[in-house]
Amino acid sequence: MILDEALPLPPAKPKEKSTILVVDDQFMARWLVSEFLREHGYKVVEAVDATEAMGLAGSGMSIDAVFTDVQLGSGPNGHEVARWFAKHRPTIPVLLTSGADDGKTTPRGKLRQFVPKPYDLAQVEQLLRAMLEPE
Amino acid sequence: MNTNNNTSTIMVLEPDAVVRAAISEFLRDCGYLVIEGVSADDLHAALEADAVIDVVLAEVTLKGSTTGFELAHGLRQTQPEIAVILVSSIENVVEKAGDLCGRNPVRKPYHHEEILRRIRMLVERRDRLARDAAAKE
Repeated sequence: MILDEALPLPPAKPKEKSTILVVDDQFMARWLVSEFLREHGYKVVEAVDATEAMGLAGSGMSIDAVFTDVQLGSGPNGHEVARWFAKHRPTIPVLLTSGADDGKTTPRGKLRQFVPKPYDLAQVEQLLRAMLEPE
Repeated sequence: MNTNNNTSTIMVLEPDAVVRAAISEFLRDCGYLVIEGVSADDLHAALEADAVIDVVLAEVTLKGSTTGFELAHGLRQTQPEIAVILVSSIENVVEKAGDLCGRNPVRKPYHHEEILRRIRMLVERRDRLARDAAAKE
């Protein structure tokens, strides 16, 4: 048996170890996507709400992209996180997700994308990778 | 989710995001698998998902209604194989994370003062930003 042919291709990895800020108030959702991204070569910083996300970004921690749920408990929501980044860290791409919102009203572009819940983890990784690609 | 028997898993329960991120990154660099949480509910959710957790490094004051003391007491009754380390300050969590790192095969040069200085700097910057934002409102 030729081993090379039997083995699946390794997952695509980001060119450098990019840091993704994952924001979700649901522990299981946050844990699953964070571990998936770590297994794919990213460094991940986790936040449980918008205040934590903005605090982490404001602390000077290096962040290359944000993946945030729209629904974040009782405080500011994911759209507000995206607006905060657009104002304070305008070069950082933000990928939004939601199970309640279809994302049709979410502005799209190189720096703002939307993926509906339930999402495919590989799709999230691909979207983030594309958003991190230099122009 | 941890099925790797060669790597110990630590669940870091810390309500301060900056401290949690810094300590978790340090422990990952030391070779541990790290699960991050903020409350006893997060620990229970991880255990219900069949996570194999070896150590819980928990702040005494957690989010939610259960304190670190209550969580430690409960785990002693139900899952005594899980070690619980309670911490009550940034100095304390840095010291305990350093001890854990020293026990792992992938050891990292551990500079207590450097980690402490970095966490304090991050916390100060975050708090300054929050104060500035509040002053503008």
